[in-house]
Amino acid sequence: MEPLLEVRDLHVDYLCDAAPVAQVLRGVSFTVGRNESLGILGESGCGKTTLALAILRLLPACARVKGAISYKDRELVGLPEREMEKLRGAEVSLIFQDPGRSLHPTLLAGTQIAEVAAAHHREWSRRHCREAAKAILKEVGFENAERIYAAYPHQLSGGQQQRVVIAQALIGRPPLLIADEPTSSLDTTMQAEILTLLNQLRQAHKLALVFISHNPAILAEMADRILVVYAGQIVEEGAVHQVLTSPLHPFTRALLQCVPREAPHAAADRQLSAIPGSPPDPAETAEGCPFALRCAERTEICASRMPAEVQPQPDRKVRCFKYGG
Amino acid sequence: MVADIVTGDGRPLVRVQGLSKTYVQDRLLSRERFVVRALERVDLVIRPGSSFALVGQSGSGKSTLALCLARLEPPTEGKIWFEGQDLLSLRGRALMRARGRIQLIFQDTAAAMNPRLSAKEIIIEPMRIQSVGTRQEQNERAAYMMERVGLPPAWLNRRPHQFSGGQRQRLAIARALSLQPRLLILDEAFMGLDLSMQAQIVGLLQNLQRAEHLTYLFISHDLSLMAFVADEIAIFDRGRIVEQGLPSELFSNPRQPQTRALRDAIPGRSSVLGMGQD
Repeated sequence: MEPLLEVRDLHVDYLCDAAPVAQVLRGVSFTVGRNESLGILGESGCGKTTLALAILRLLPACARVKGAISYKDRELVGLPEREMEKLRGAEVSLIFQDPGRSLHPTLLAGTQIAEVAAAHHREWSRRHCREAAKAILKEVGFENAERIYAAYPHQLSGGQQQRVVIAQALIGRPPLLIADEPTSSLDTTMQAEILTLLNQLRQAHKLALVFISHNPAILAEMADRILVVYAGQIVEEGAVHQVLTSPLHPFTRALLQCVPREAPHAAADRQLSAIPGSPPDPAETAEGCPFALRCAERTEICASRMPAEVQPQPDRKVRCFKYGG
Repeated sequence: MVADIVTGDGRPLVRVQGLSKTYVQDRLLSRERFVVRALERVDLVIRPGSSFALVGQSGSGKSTLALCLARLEPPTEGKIWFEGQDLLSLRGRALMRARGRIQLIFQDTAAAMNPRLSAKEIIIEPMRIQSVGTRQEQNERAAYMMERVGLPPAWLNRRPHQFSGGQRQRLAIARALSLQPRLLILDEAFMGLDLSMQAQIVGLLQNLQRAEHLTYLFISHDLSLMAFVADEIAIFDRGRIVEQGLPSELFSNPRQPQTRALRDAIPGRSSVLGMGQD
């Protein structure tokens, strides 16, 4: 079966003002199957959000995009803006980290959902849109949909706001939802609620999901398959249990060690092994593997050239010299 | 427990007794008064050199306690002793000195810094306010602090927006430690940092604590992280401490439903990673 979304050799450069050219995505290729949940794992600044924005063509004007993005066999790069507009929300929706900023502060939560319904269905009456908004509020877990409909965003908690944003995103019934760190501004309890809700909605609506996160523990609950992104490239790819329990790339392994897993009994055991240094500046192009400087397993070859992507096991890919890259 | 508390210099650094804080809001166009009990008779003891964590959901009152401890918000009732002094009775110069010894770090470091000041000015601002040191000493201290928190001293002239989130958190730590405080209150200081930055900042705080004999009060919703950094954890719910103990105890044998809920909300627990299971 053909994939729902296919991204091939996607490059995104930012040429903003006087700043040096930043190569944020450097040749990214992947597919998302129907009903599949793809996790994208990486640090801040690795290009995760740029990837999400590029798919829906929401990048700033100074971004230069190269490559191919096909959705249901339609090429999106170069598609007229009017066609793109029809696709957003009806075929692919996007939710962000901070729900407070995604919502209009002086409009009722319900109005903001009904507005989206009206944009997707010009033929619907206002009343019909209102009823649809209330129905979807129930679907995202509000028992008292009437009360939430009539609330302003500031009267809702962060978790409730994110549910409202999810309702907005799903009212057009898109087959694909892209969620960019949707729980990072929430506390753990609300995060768990939103993750459970997204998994339920996925089942109920046969949604495909692209879930972007810096936290492997969250992807463990959300993803079927994981792409690990470092400095604008996919450095590892595989099924969720493979990537998280037997990671191949040294970066994946190092990131997994940053997760606090259990309560240590002795103070001396309270060591989180951090990854030294910080991700490379996308405006600087260095020879060799971009992770080499921070890598505990680097050898001489690492600084010489970029490792190629290899397939050491069926259905697994990695970009590292250790595996012959 | 008691024997444990009186180790070190024999006195707890912080002792809070029966602390309550009530906010009364008058509703617009209504005679009804809206009463929020942010803190209800909170008792706690923090040993010098230790790390104490208050863990609870958003809105449970944790931050109010931090504000009361920093004397930024007057409590409605109760007592706070800091270094053996009655903190709430301090006025004038004595209060100012005490405030220099209790420093706060907030979640949103960008909002907590004047965007027009350089890193150097940000670090020496507390010293200037407290009139500590000559101009030269202040400058030296700023360069020293940059190095201590792992930032290149060459960046002293940069402004906050030129730092990444993790670097700005280091800068916030440098500012907080410029006066050599004894107590550092970190209110959701890890929120917004990704895991690798979080791990780096945890390591930095642990090194600084050992070197400077600092005492930390962490405030967080993240039980898994707090179990990692704290000696003792108090679970906070609706203005009260509902359970308190060693991290490993709370994890393996939570007695209160609030503790269990916080533990069960840790992502990845029931998945392939089997996280947080004892």
